[in-house]
Order: sequence, then structure tokens, then C-alpha cells
Amino acid sequence: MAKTYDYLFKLLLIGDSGVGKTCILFRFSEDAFNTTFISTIGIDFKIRTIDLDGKKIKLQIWDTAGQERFRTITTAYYRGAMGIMLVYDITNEKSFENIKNWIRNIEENASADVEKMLLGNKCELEEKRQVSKERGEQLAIEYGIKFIETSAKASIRVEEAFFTLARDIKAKMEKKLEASNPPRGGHQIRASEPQKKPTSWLSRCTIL
Amino acid sequence: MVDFGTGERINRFVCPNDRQLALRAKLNTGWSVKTATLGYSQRTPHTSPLAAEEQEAIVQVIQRAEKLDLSEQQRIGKLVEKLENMRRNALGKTSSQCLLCGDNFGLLGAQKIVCMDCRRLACTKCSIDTLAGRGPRHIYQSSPKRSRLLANVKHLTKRGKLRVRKAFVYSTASREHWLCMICAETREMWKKSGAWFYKSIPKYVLPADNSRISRTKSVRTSRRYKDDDSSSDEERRMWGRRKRANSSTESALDALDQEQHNYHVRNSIYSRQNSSGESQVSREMDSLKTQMSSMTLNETKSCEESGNESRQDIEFSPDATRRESSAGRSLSDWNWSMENKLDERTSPSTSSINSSVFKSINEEKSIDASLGVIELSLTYDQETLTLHCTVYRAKNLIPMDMAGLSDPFCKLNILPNAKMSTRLRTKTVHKTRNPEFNENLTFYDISESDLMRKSLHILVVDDDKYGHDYMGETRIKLAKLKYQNTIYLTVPLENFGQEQKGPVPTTELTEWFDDLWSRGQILLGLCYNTKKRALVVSVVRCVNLLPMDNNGLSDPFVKLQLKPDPNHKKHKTSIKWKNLNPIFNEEFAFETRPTELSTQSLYITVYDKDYGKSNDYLGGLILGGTGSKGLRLKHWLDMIRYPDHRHEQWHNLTEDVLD
Repeated sequence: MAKTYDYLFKLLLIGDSGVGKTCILFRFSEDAFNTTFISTIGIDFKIRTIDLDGKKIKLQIWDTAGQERFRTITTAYYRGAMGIMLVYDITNEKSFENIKNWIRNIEENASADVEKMLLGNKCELEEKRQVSKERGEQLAIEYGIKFIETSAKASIRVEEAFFTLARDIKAKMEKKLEASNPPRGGHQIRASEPQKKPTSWLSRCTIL
Repeated sequence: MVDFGTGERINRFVCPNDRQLALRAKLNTGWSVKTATLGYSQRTPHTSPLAAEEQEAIVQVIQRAEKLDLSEQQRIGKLVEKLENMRRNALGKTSSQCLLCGDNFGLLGAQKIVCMDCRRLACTKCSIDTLAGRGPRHIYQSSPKRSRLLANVKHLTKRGKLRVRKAFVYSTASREHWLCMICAETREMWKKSGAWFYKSIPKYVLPADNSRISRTKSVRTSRRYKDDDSSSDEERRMWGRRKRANSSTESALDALDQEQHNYHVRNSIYSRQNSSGESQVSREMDSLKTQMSSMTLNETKSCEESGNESRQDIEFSPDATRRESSAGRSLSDWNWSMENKLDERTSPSTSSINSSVFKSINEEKSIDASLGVIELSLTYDQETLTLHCTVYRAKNLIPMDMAGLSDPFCKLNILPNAKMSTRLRTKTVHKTRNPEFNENLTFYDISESDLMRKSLHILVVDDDKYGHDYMGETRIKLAKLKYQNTIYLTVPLENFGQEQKGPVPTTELTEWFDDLWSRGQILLGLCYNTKKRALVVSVVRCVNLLPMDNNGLSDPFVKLQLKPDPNHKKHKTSIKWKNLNPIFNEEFAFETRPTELSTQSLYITVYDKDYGKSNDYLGGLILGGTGSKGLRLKHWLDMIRYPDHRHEQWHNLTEDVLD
């Protein structure tokens, strides 16, 4: 409890093995990059507190292993996630095709109103590109989610991606609570005073 | 016995099939490739278990996450405590006072604000305008009809003093903005704790009990003695909560042990009382015993049921027995703390008898628990003129939704009462027919003369987005508290005949039930006509609609729509001018197949006709569909089950704007 914060958002990174989920997270949390490939074992998470519209938001970002053999462990973390980043590698056609499967995975395991986002990573490797930006955009539109091409190595738009997702979650939260529905199901004790209907026309709003 | 292997594996001792042989021939590798191992590894490539170091790494991550979770739980605990403190420190007791600071309203006093969440009255200082500091863009995002009003109000807000006037202006718009500090804080808490996402407040640890839960009672005793009276109530409630939060982690064995102790205490009390030899008491005890035996029957029944429900309840406890035992344990704690509290005041010899006379209120009546039973205790404190009511749980409540479950909460009120502020409610326990409330609610300003005249009404209501459904009620005469400080009750719920049949007989009950049907009621008839192959909806009448026009009346009409409907048919009744209780008697037909009815729902909306501006929304209702519950569900199912019969039913209109 050293640092205080206003909100805690739990995010999740998923995608095929080797697309650069861990690198994206490493770039975002430590602003560093490591060229050696170390496969993530099961799960890991990093923390970063960001400032958004004057609110301190603590992001707990779960990094998952892309490998199939850790699937049972990683899917257990879908449920608690408020935002999920689907990552593919723009130099790897297969990882892009698999996004469909990852989305199905989300639908099966994650909470229904989770905020999703599509990231095309390694966009600095323009010469090796296999998946065009348009195709990425097209897929994102198909699923009604946002899309950003990033590069963890060259530090391109990684921050932007996380900030966008956090902002979307925050907006969703505000919409949920500040639309005309008060929190339900809490231990709110209502010693309620019913609203008195005015009897005189003077006391009524008379804007026609 | 020969093990032939599980289904997915290829048995190594079976000859490879033709296809495999054909494929192998193409490989040109000869016969050296082992069919069995090949098949085996191909089929199940990922069954290889995790290596020890991998497991180690994962466990470390999980531990790190748990540490973070704990600090988060403590943080939420602080937020919850802050909110509870705020609630506890609220001073307002009557409708002429500000809910929070207790300032009197009036021309010279504070200005009145109606909080849009809890609908209580607060002064301008104790409430905030949620609109303030918001860009105009946001305002226009709300419904087009309102936005005009909002913009106008916003305009006023800019000029400091006029802002206050606005509080008097009644319109849907002005209600949109003001929140009392408690509700504002509640919303903030829902955001900060993540409850907005998880749809309930996550597990939390209160700052007071950061230390591990001590099992020894001596430690608890010392703590309890340190507390002063006012906080102990609150803390007891907190304890109950914390217990629930932690019950899953503690061993069931421990719980059982505690429970045995609890029964032991009770038994000793019985024997003491019987030995006192008073005929009155022994008669009561006999009736209590029959009550108890019926209760145990109920309990076992509920065990079986909760076993069936375990799919839904799995989050709470892994099995039904543990739930029952942990419940018993929290009760035992309570009994124990109660005795201690009284020890402080009265001599120990009288306290145990005084505090723990179990009493059933329906000694004469036969026990009819068809609507379920509710367990509670009442304590009256003469010094502070407060009545503490602890609602432990309810059992065997009637099911309200398709899955046979309910979302019950209790509303408590002391009647007859001129004041409005005696209404209290428990929180809602979702998806259960055997809710554990364990909540302590306090009524203030109850004089001893009140005790003789008044009674406590408890209404069990199903919480639903589209209105609250009646699940039963009970009335307890407070005169019983005249002779003893504390009574424990197990009361069957009854139906006092107001099955939502339009207006409720006595005015006072009407007032209390006001927020149940604040938007008025509608009498609808449903009939599926097999000849016409159509659903015939008859709009009979509405009562108690809201006045929307300047003359204090409305010009209501009803819109009907079936969704999803391939014909996209919409119906409208005629407009009944200047009438809050209009009689329509109009019939409308929706062509549909009986098989589709179970997936369709009927949207009924009542509007006030206005010329020159958009119509005002008066109330709405959805029948059928997956979200339908209670009477609305029953009405819909009856219509499907018995075609060619007209089913008439009163329904409450709710304020949720339906699209």
C-alpha cells in the first residue's frame, strides 16, 4: 500500500507463442527490450500505475504463455480480466489467423463485458511483413474492437495501446455507474424517503 | 485384468489399421517406425506434465499475485469502512432534516435535494451535483428529450445562486444530477473496488482485523470489552461479513466444532429455564421445540435443495453442509457476544436468562411455512431509544425465476408511523432461496410507548431490474419487547392478501410499498388464440399513474410491442385525456406461433401524450423472455400453458426506460 491509486484494472495479454506479448509488457512496464526469446512459463504479471484524466489507475497486466500446454492455466485468468489484448505478429500469417481462435477462447472463458483490443506487433519489421495493416483493421472492425500496430522493440505505440485500453475500460465503468442506474446488489440500506410529487404547477418544470 | 487403455489412446497391442499401413508405405522408411508410439504421441502431445521448476515458477507468480490481492482487499476494506462510517454518522431522522448533517430544511435553513439513487432528502452541502464539471458534450449524449432540459439546468448551474432553486424544480432532469454524499461515495466505492465489473463488492479485509482471525475466544473477549456500545453493533455486523468472506478458507471441521458448542449452550439454557418451573415459560418452550423440530426438517430439506442448487451457489461454498455449519457458527458467535454485552450491564445471574429466551410469535397459529421462514432477533435499548434488528437468514423462500431461484432482500419498517425515515432494507442476496443476510439494522427514536402500539413489518422482496416482487411478509408486535430486552424469532412468512391486486388497502401500507409500485399499476389480459394463431393482449386499465402535465394529470396511452417479432407490429391504445386511472379495455393481436412465444417477450410502455414536445414516459414492463421473473414470468407461462384462456393480472410499472 505504498502507492495509492484510484482504480485497479486487470488486463490480459493473449496470442500465439512468440508474437511478443512478454516484450510488449516489458516495454510498457520497464521501458526496456530483450532480444533473447524466453518462453513464458504459464503466467506472469507486471504492474504499472498510469495517470488518466487526473485519476491514478493501477494496471495489473497478466502475461500468458502462448504455448498450448499451458492453456488450462492461462484460461483460468480470463474471467477476472477487465481488458484483453489480442496480440499477433505481423510477420507471421499463422498468428494472425489464430486470432479467431483466441477470440472464441475469450467468448468461452472471459466475462461478457470485457474490453478487447487487437495488436499487430513487430511493425518495425516492414520488410518481413506478411499481414497488411488493412487486414488487421478489417478483422478488428469485424469484431467491433480497436486495432493498433505496435513494436515493442522500436517502442512504437505500446504506451498508446495500453492507455487506449485503460481509457476504454474507464469510460465503460463511468457509463455503467453514471447512467441512471445506481449500483445494485450492494449492501445499501435504504431508509428511503419517497419522492413527493408536486401538487402545484408552480413547482414543476415548465419547459415545453 | 487386461487394461485396454482409455478411449483416446491407441492400444499398442492392436495391429495398425489399413490407413496407417498405407500411409506408412508412402514414407519409405520401412517398418522400423513404431506404430504405437507414433500414434500415442500424435494423439496426446500436450499431456506431458509440467516440470518441477515450471511448477515452481508458476507457484511463485501465484504467490506474488496473492500478495497483491491481499493488499487490494485491504484497500477495499478501507473503502467499505469509510462508507460504513459515513452511513453510521448520518444524523437525519425525519423527513424535515437533511439525511447527513441533520439540518432542518426550510426557508432559512438548508435547501432540500432529492438524491437520485436513494431518494432521500439531503441539503445542498451534503450532496453533489454529478453534472457539475462535466462537459456539455456528455450531456447531449443522454436521451434527446432530456438533453434539452439538462442543458437548461446546466445553464442555471453556472449562475451560482440560481443553482439552489433548481432543487425545487421537479422534473426527470433535475433528479438526474443530485446525489447525496452517501450515494456518491457508494458509486465511487463501486468504481474503486472493481465492483462495477464483478457486479458485487469483491472480497475484502477490514482494517480493524488485519491480524489473522484468532480462533480462541479469550482473545475475542478482550477485544469485545474494549469496544464501546455504539461501535460493537457495527462491528458485529462486520464480523458476520468477514466470517462469510473467510468461511471458505477455514476448515469445515472447525465450523462443526463451533456449532456443537452452540447447541450445547442452547441446551443448557433450556434446562435452566425448564427448571424454573413457570408454566408460561414451559408452554412456550414446548411450542418452541415443535418449531425447532419443524425447522430441522426444513433445514435438511434446504440442504437437499441447496445440493441441487450447488451449481449456482458454488462460488459461496463448495458444499451445502459446510454452508449450514458455518451459518450455525456465526450464530453461535453472536449469541456469545450478546451475552457478554449484557454482562457489562446487568448482573451475570439474570443476563443469560434475560437475553436468550427463544420465543416463537405464532404460538397459537399452526405453522404454515409455505412462503418460507425468516430468522431474526430484536433488541431494544431503553437508554438510547434504539431498536436493533438482526436479520440472520431466510429459508425456503418461493422461487421467482426460471431457474427456480430468487434474489431476495428484506424491507423493514415500523408501523404505524408518521415518519418516513424508519424504513430500512437489507442487502440483496442473489440467486438463492435460502439467503444469509446476517445484517444488523437499527431503528432510532423508538420510545417505550411506541413499543406498545407499534409493530415491525418485514417484507421479503425479490430484487429485479424491472420491479420488485412480493415474496411474503411478517408482522411482529413490538410489545413483546416490553418484558425482555432481546427476543429471537423464527417466523414463517405470510401473505396478507395484497397479492399486488392493485391498490393496497391501508394508506400506510400503500405509502410504505410506494417505491415498489411508484409508477402505478396496469391490468393486462393475455390470451393465446389458437384459431387466429395470435397472442391477444388486452389492456384493461391503469391505476396510480404519475402526473406529468401542469394540471396535475396525464394523458396516458399504452404502446405494445412483441420482440422479436418478424412482422414488426406495434400497437397503441387510444389516449385517455386528463386521467391518472384510465380504463382502456382495448384488445390487440400479435400473430405468432405458440412455439415461439417462449423466446419472445412483450414490451408494454405507458406514455403521456404531449403536443409540441416528445411524449413523457410514465412506466414500462416486460413480460416473458429470459429476464422475466416472478409474477411477470408466471403470467407469461400461464398464457403459454393454457391457450384460449384469458389470463388477467395486475403488474407494476417500473421506471426503467425500455427500448
